Amino acid sequence: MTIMSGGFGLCGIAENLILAIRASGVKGLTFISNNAGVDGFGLGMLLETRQISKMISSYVGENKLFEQMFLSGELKLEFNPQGTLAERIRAGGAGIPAFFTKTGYGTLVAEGKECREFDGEMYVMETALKADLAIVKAWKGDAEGNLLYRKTSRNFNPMMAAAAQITVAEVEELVPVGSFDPDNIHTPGIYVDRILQGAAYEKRIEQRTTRKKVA
Amino acid sequence: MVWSRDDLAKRAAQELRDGYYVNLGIGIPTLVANFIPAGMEVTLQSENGMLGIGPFPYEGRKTPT
Repeated sequence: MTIMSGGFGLCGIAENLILAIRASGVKGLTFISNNAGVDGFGLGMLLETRQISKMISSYVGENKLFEQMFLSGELKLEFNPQGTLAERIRAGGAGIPAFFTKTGYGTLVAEGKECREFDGEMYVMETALKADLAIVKAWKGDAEGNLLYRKTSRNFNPMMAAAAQITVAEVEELVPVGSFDPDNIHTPGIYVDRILQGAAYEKRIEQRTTRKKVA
Repeated sequence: MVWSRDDLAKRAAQELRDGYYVNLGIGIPTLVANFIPAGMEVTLQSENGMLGIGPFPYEGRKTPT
């Protein structure tokens, strides 16, 4: 089974749904996710339980267990440039089977892929990504499945909501239908099959960087 | 002279010009956000594509989403 998991780093990840997948014990999962969480949190929790067999990602640092599992051959990995990954998912949702991008041309990323010239520049053909299930996290949602994201957490979540057969959304706050101004909705409810209000949110920060107040 | 991370960021900030749009990569490049010369207007872009980011937050002003 292929699952798309939204968010950027630990920001905007479906914390409760990741726990639910862990509790279900389902194995042999392919995850499409920009990142792989950290040791002990986010998708890192599903690596601990050996439920993930393949990751399609752009950046998988911050995670020692991931490194071990990859080097031992326990975990398959398909790397994508970040923008290419985002566009492959968007294309999956938009019904576009493939597209051309400059990113990766002439590198390992382009190996085995069709390349073509447009207006004197070379491009690589990348194919769309779809999934059986998407787990997305939004700030607010209503019973119709309309979703509103907040800041960085909007990364990958809206595209994934559109690109999966079944989309399950968890929200910080479930509001009555009609609460949203239609012009402000980020993910229209038609893309969302199930919705729940998350029990609690840890919202861990990977690298906390602040500056000192100068008196 | 041994350059610190901040020294490198300060030097890079000297390359900025009024009106620039600047993409900051992860690592030392993000420190450049702390050294925009006063009175200069540049628009910073983070790795995930957001435009209009500023310097690092002060302690207690973090807004995890």
